[in-house]
Amino acid sequence: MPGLLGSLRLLRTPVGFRNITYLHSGNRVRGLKRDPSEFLRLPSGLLYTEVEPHKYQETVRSQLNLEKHGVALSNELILQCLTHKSFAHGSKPYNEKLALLGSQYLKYHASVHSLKDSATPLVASAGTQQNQKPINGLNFTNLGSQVSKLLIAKKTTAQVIKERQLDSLIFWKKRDPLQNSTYNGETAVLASVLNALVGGILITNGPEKTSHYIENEFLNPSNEASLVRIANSMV
Amino acid sequence: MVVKALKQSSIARNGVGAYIFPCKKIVLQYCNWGGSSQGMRDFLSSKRLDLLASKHPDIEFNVLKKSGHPMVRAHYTNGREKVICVRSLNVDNVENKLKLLRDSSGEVLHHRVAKDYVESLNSSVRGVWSPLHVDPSGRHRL
Amino acid sequence: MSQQLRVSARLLRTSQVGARARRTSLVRFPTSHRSLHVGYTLWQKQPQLATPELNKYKEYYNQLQKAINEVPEELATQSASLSTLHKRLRLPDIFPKSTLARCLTCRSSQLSSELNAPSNGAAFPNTVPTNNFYDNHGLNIFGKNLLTYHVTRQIMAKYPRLPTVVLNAAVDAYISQNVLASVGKSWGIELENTSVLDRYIKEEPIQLSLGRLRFFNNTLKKEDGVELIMGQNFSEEAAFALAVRSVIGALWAYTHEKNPALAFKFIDDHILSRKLDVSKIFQFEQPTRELAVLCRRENLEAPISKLLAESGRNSKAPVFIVGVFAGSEKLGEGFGSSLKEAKARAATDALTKWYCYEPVKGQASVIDHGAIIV
Repeated sequence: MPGLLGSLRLLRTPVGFRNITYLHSGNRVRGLKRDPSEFLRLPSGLLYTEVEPHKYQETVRSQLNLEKHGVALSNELILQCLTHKSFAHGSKPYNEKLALLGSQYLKYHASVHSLKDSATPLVASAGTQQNQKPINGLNFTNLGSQVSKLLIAKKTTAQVIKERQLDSLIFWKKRDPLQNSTYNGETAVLASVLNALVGGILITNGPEKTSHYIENEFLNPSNEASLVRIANSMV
Repeated sequence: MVVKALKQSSIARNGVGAYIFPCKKIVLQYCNWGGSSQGMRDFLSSKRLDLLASKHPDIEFNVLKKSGHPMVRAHYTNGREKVICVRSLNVDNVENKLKLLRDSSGEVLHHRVAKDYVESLNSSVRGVWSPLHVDPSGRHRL
Repeated sequence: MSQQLRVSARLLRTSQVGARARRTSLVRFPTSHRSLHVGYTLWQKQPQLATPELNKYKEYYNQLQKAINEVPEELATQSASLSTLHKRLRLPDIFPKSTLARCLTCRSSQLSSELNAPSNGAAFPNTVPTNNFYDNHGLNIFGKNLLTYHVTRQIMAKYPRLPTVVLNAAVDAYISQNVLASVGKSWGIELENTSVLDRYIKEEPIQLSLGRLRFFNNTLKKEDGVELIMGQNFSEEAAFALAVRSVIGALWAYTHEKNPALAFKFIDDHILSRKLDVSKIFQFEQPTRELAVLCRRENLEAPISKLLAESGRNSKAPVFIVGVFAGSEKLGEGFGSSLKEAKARAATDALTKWYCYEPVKGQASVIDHGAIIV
């Protein structure tokens, strides 16, 4: 069984460390320091400290088409964006605040997108409601409608991450690995990753580049894994 | 057990960013019959009000005809109003009272003495002197 | 089943028609029933009453409704309060006064007709019910998105290390409903407090109503001591906040093509210029423990508290000054009347200094690693 032996070798801790201090692995014991190579590892086997930039970060860059739009993100920032607060008890840089900023920027852009979408009245109950008079060609009735809400809903943003196959790269800890994804709140974690990436791009690349990137990547109906496509399919 | 937040509200500082003129509305009340309104009537029939109004497009001027002594009533953005009775005043004095109300901030007037406390939202830049932070050799000993 | 439904519908219709017919017969030909009910003699007189005054009031009401449903620009420019508000906020000329009037129409003024019926208790609202959706609903949503984004970004740029809860509280301190309501009041927006009948009796020009903030505002509340309780929030505060947000939203709508920075500059000038001390938001539960975790995460030496100065240890009012050090570096300092209190204050001081760090101008943007989780 070479596969099992290989994984055992991976799980084994270097002997040198044990000479200094005992690092506990296996079941949790109160008061004992845990082995970092155990709690920094995903169930898939990916170790946080041994992430290879040419594999990990390059995958993220190519899946999000960052180079195509001239968006530069550092390796550390990409890793931070893909690390959830639940991972390693928050001891590694995590994406909470980037996600907060990113979600608000995305919300602003999605609402602009809905405003300019005057050709199709998005109101579900269009029969009973009259449309508000547009202001300067912007249709303010679209805001608060189902499609415009779905555009930035957690399940939509999570779906984008799933379709771009980034979900296996996210560092997070499940509440209970035996339960299903709803119980573990997987949607919120995946959504936070996309939001954090937007937030990270906004902070490092500035609003002009970010808005250009969002318009062409996530709010572009011709793009396969875009928010618009997924939101429309969910209605 | 991370840090918790206490609810706070930001405090307005008119003039730090945008400046909103405190006086928003002035009502000029006059009587068409009474002699005490003569100055006010002169003022209203002269060009002075037009000049003042064109100088302040952000103040609403209302002219009200009502029997009794003439009044100038100003409304401010802080929700207060100030009234001055301008009975038997001549044109110039009516205008001066009007300008007085226009230039008021709408706050209640305080008597301030020369050595009054400084009122500020900001903490002192110099800090507060502490006897425990001076050089130990120079400290006062009992 | 469907047939049954249709039949019952037909029955319903016929019964309605019957009722209507009966009613009309009562009103129009009361003489036929006169022998039965004496009271009908009163009804007989009703259609003959001369109601020119009522008709005039109806006309005024309809005019008002029409004006609010679709504010004509000529009428809006005649409104003194609208044009002074426009000037006071230094809005660009491209921003029409009719849109400003629209920003002052809240959707809560559009109630269903039953609510306005005096029989239901919600009598005499000051607003005119409108059916056209010419209100600030959409503008408010957009203005809120714009405000939240911009204020969060600015605070994050100024204080990059604020924990998320504190950051949210700081954003709230700028754009919560009560703060925006006070902004609206300081702009000199006035409320519509008189009923339509009062306005008609005063012969008030319609444009005066356009310049005031219209929302469901029950006059019964103040005068009769009767308060109407409803699920929706029809408070004055909510209406002011709606108006402020929608002015910002509308400003963006008119200027985003030519000058996209103008709406953000407006937010900077009117909202972000307010004073807020972020260090007052923090509430630490276990500051010493949190500081220890911070030092471990940032690869600093473990924090050690040292007594720097003291006075009157055995007296009734002792004072201790404690500093907290990581190696030779001083992280914070605190005072207290006991060593424990001073130590906790020192740790709080060190943590506040860490979290409230402000980068200098021209520095590259700082990306925070996240708050410490104990």
